[in-house]
Amino acid sequence: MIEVESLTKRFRKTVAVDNLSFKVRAGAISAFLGPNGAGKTTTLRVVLGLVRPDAGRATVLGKTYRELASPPHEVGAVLEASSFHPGRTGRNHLLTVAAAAGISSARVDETLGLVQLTNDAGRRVGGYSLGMRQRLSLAAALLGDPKVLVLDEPANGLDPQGMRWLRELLRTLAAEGRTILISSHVLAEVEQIADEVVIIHRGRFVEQASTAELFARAGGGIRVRSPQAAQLRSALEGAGLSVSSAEGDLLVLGDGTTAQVGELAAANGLVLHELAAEKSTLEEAFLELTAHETTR
Amino acid sequence: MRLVASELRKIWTVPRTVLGLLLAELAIVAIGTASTISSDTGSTAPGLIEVPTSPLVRDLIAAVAASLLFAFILGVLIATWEYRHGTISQTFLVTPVRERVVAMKILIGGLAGAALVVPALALMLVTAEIWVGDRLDFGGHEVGLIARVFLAAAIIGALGVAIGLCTARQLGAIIVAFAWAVFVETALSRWESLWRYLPLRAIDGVLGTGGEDAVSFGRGLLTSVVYVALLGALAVVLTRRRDIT
Repeated sequence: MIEVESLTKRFRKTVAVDNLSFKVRAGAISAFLGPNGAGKTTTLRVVLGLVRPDAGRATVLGKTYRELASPPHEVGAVLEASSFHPGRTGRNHLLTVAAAAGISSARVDETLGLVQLTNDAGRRVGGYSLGMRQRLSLAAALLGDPKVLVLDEPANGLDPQGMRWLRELLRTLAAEGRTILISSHVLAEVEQIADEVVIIHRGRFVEQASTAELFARAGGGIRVRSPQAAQLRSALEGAGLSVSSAEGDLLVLGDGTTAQVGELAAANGLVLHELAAEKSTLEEAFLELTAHETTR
Repeated sequence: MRLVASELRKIWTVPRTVLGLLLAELAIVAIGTASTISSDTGSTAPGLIEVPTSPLVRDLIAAVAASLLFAFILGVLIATWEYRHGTISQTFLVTPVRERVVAMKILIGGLAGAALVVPALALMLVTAEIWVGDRLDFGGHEVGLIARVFLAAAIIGALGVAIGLCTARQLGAIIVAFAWAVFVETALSRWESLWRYLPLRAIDGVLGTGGEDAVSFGRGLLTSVVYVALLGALAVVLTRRRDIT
């Protein structure tokens, strides 16, 4: 669906993207992650035909962006929220896009409704908040009802309600069978919606995996609190479980399950005050992977 | 046609910019018209090289020709405001074949440049009719002269777009154009056979205002069109190579 092959892009002496390859699965939401300056935006702009690669290629639906027969109907893109003429109204901005793409003004109004901008459509974009500009960008991306969406930091500037709205909108769009590639630094948001993750660092590929696989690989722990921590530790270690840290009445296990710990405590007549599985977050997985890359 | 509609909409949906330009143009034309009428002696004199006409009508049409400056600025704006405000990304997302965008913008620059002559001409005609209506004598020659102003404005508008697309910067394009007009063409004036074919002198040929040294209307038009084509080709090359970051 979206394929990046051996992509390299330099800006003078700076290598922004370095021999990067990955594929985005059709019909899934894929998060494109990396620290600031990792080359995410450059990669997306190459995919969208806005930046020329020095080597390699990027294709969407099997073609370079330039080769697409009707780009707005095939790929929708959200780039910077500042890419508007401040003197133009939101509706007129969409109408200029629609006119070039052969899209009706009725669809413009429909899309404005979809991003909840109908009431502000007649205002100049210069007076829009960052969140409203993001919604307008999304409206432009959705005008042609495309099969593929490429979104660069679409959550920027959105308030909590806006974030929830975006999450639900993206889920709805993905449920309709669209392929969505979304770059973001708000990892907590991404982990709630992404099916898979592509991580890059310093322009290079680091990892591609499903979010479930990434969480599993990053692991987690079990927190257990007991007034009889010493006896509990002995029982756990006797059963082959490893205690990674102990502090007062708190033990943290690197392996095992909450069921195993609970049953062991009951069998040994030990009192528990807390027993919980600690779930790793995408942020932890991301930091671990990129930290590993940094030290290479 | 879709691109034409889109590009035209881009112009009329930023009313403050266009209105500001229009008001400045009308102010200059009003001053030119008033000064021409008030200094007119009513005498007859030889007209232009190719279009003999009365000095009053000739000077009034020359006042309208001030709109050429604004046609150029509008052309530059049409090309560069997309880069300035970042909307060029959206334009290339919809139309990734950039040479089509360049061609369409040059066409729109020509149309918009010619369109700017309409209000200037209307203001001049109304003012002159009210003030010295009895001394105005518009015939076929005068209409031809006005048609030349439209043509020159279209060429200048298209040149403005092409230069704007080459530089991708408003101020840069305007500085390049004025530096060319003030320094380069002046410096090259000693080589008269070459000088006659430089862009501004070619436009003089189109307008018929270049005096005895100017090229003919046909040569001026052909030369101007060649300049638009060459700068347009350069704009295509540079636009295709330009990264939109």
